[in-house]
Amino acid sequence: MLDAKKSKPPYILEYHSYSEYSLLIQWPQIVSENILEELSAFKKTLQRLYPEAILTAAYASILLVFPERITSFPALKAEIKQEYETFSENSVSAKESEIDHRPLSLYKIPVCYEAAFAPDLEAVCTQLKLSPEALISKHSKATYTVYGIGFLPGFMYLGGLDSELEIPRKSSPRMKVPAGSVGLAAKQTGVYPCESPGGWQLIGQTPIPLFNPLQDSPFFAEVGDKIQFTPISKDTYKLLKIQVAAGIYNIEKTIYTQL
Amino acid sequence: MIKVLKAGLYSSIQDLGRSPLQPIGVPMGGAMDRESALNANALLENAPEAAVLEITMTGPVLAFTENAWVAFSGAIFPIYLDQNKVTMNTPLWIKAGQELRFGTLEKGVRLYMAIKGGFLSDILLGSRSMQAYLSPMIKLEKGMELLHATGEKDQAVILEKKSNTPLDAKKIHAFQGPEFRNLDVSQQREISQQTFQVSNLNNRMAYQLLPTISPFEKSQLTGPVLPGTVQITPAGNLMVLMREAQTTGGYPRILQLTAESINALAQLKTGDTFRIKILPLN
Repeated sequence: MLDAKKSKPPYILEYHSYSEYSLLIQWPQIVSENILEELSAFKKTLQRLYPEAILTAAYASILLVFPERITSFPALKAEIKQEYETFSENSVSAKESEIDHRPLSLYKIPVCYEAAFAPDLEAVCTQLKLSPEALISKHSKATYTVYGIGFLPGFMYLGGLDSELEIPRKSSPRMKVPAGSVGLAAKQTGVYPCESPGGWQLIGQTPIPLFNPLQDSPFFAEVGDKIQFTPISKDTYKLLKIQVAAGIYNIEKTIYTQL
Repeated sequence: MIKVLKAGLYSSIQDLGRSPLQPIGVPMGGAMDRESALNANALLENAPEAAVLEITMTGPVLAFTENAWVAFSGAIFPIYLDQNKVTMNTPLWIKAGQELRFGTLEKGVRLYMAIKGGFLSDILLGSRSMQAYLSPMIKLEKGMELLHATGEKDQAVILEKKSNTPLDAKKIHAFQGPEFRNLDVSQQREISQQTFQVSNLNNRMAYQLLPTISPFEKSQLTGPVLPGTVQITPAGNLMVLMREAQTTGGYPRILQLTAESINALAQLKTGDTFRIKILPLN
């Protein structure tokens, strides 16, 4: 999976009749910020066009699931193709104006990297030949992009990891990874929203619950959003835990402006 | 309410699941054999989304503390109300104080018990379906109390109708998945000609099939998946994702089961054999 940041729209999209109820739209199957950005924008267009459909995006794909059987795939594909052409033309003209710099949401997630919350940090540092300070600094300086949400409710696949932090998954997964654990796996980083088995290398933990099934909007982010991690001390971790329990903590959201 | 005197192997409250939340990683969930669950509800003139009890392999023992209409559809078990054997696929009136128990499974795997008005367990994210990593309880436990709408004696029409799901499907129908064309011709042939078997790794998340086919080692960018998606692992294992599957996957998606075949597979158990027939989808 090469990173092709230079790949530019318009892309040649592929349409696959996925099931009686669903259609898969695929951009070139590469990890690319440009593709993800376009896909996120086109997803909004499609959602307006098909308000009844459920649209799941990940990396370079959108799956549209309709509540009823699709009566004609050729007609649906032609309609979306036409829509994409219009969309691409508009985006090209938008590129020449300032509309292109539309704001994205950036969420800041506090993470405690201290030993008690980071069972693999020491081993990861040894393997990557980095000091804990260097690892924490590299992990918390980057701005990550949500490429997909899956594996668990609210589990974000975050791209944009510093290449010096790339490390394979653990050879044998843990039976229990605590909720809030922040992990590394190959080119990705992510946060476990709930306790589950898992094989990622754990380098920290957030005190804030990312996914809350008891709330009307249980999860804050969507594919295409930006994430940063803010290092916090053990004391701040405890303080935030108390704020969370009291229901007075809100995840920090700002506007991400593209350069 | 209904008191759970014995839990059985794996019984859970299910409805049609949480499909709107797939974009944030919540599995669709819901009844494994959706057709039989819908049929059980239809027999009582319930709404399609009314919550039912999904009973797997061995049944629970249930004590009713209130009157209720119930209906059974799906896998075949001998069902006893106190000492009397009762009929499936038609409404059944149960009086306060009576007990339901289940004999040895005869055919299929999953039986659905609907109750007039539906089970009234807590709604979580728009559904009453018990779901791993989400619900406080994922299956019935001894001593649990199940709330339900209270029954009135007069049932206007006594309906009788079987579920359309076969309990011993020998053919599973599927469409080509997005990565089917990446298989070589001999692998495609293996899929059409092989007799497959449900391995002992089968649950509400996925069914792993036997035997493996030739290894397939091409890497794959993570993409969306659905219940019924058949993935191939590098070792050549075929994994059929079921209702509680995760929402994205990184293995090639070589097939997609038809809606009816997902239900049919949900009624097959370890060791059951079938062949795969690929259908066009246009």
